[in-house]
Amino acid sequence: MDRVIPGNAGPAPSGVALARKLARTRLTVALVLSVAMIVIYFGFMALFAFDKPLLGTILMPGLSLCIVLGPLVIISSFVLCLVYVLWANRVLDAGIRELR
Amino acid sequence: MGSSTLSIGFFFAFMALTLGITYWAARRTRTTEHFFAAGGQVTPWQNGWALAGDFLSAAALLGIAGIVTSNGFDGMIYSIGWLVGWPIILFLIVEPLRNVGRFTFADVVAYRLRQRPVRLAGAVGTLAVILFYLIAQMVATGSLIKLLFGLPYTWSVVVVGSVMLVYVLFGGMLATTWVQVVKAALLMGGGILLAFLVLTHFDMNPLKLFAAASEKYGTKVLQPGSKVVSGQWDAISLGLGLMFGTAAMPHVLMRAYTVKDAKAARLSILYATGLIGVFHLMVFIIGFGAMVLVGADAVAKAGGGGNMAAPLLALTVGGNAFFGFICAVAFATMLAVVAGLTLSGVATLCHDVWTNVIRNGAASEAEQLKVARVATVVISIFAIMLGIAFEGQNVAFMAGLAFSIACAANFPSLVLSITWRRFTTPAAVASILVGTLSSLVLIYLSPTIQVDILGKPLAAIEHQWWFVSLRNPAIISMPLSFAVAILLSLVTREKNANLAFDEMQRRILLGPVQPTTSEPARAKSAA
Repeated sequence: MDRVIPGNAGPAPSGVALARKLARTRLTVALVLSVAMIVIYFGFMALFAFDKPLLGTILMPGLSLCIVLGPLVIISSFVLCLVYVLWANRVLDAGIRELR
Repeated sequence: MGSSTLSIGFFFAFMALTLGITYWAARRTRTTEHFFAAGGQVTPWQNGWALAGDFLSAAALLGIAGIVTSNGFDGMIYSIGWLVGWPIILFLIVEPLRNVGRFTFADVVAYRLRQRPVRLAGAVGTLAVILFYLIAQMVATGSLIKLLFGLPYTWSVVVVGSVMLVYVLFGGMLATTWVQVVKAALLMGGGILLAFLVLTHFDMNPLKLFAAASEKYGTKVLQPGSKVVSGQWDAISLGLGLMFGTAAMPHVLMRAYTVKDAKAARLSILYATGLIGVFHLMVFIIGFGAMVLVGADAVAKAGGGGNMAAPLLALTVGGNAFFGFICAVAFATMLAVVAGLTLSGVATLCHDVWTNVIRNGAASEAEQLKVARVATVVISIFAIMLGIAFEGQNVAFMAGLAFSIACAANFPSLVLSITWRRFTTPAAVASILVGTLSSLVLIYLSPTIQVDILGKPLAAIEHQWWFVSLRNPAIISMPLSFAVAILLSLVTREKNANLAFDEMQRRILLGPVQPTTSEPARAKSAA
């Protein structure tokens, strides 16, 4: 029953199908990247919570594993953001222009 | 004291500049669109800096540097937690928010659902977050200014509350944005200079700094300990609250509306993430710098629970002038954060509660602006009074509580309203209320309140049936809120919400086609 309605609300049916496809692609990319961020962060936090000795391994004078991994989590958040923005600026925005 | 005169000089320069900005902005603030969203005219770069300004509180510079100085690595747990929420905002939240909403996050949650109950519940969640965060900020501000400038506590709170009132009341979002930009630039500049001066003592090599720290205090400063975050599941729970709480902080989300479109909103989150990330890496250097160059004991002796680490380090590596500058930057930081918080509280009271609940969407521009200004005065007076009332109390937990409530009350309903067709009004309302209440109850039954505040001995209560050992409630309250939302959505049906889903998905991509598109949708879902 629901499936009839979008045809009434939107302009051409092809436009609706295109919009749905693009919305789904966007959500997939967003979810994949979110899961990546969650895995990285909670992976790190799980080590912090459950395996402190491992995280405290001294690699060389002045450097322990957590001092390598901590900044890496920070850098990876920025990199994931950059990946999304580059994807969105190229693919998503092109798709949106097509819809308009 | 020469440094005190200097810092007061820097502080007055900052006040003169920001009040000038407020005067300039006041003449451009004519509509609610200006008052709450700076007319959508802010550029992505400016907004990225403003987001960093909104989000980096005094805790980010003084607090984390202090924790690192006294505990080493563990301070970074907070730095990381406060950053990893930003990608989540970017991926899941900012574009739908910008394209579907107007001023608040409840705009998005209520879009397909019944306006009044959802907005009222959204206001409860948002105002609870703002209330606790504001109290934590005001109390920290009062005691820090007393420590830095020697100004009495009550006066510090009154000065900060009044200046923030002036920014928001007259200059609205435009002035607040520029105050944030100026403050963020000062904070980043001060932080970079401080970290740079520290590294000049160590051949520009952070590893030599860390090595010096571990030589002086043992390798434990480079290793995770259990003093800052105790308990295994508590650490995970803290992480949840920091990550998803950041992603649902009302004053951060509100900035999605100050730029011209979703693309600009997306870019501003990217810039903000970069700025905040770089800042946190510098704070880590600053904390270790203070540990080695000032000494953990000297910092502890200076009082303020370790908060003097960064200013004392500035004194050591840059002399009186730099000490004064860092103190003034810390003051500016507190001022800017409370202004941003107040503005988002005003948006909720005026746009959600007054315009859409009490007046059912039929309030004139002039009336809305008047209500917004009254709300600004009310919130500012509340903030000042609560700040004074809580003097000397242990309110550090309130900041954590604000993040837990944001995570459990706001985040689930926001994400489900964007992604799930079946989501219904009862589910949204219940999820927000359950998230808020369960966070409050859990923290009340935890050692944070029972032992630290009420002073009961842990041994006497830890076997009580009601005792909750977790200090951070997110790991229970967030899944609970999601479960309630999903369960209630499955047992209730809402035809209009279901039908409007496709239109909403389209709007998430394309934005409002004309400014009036939201009206039919609103009428439809209200019917």
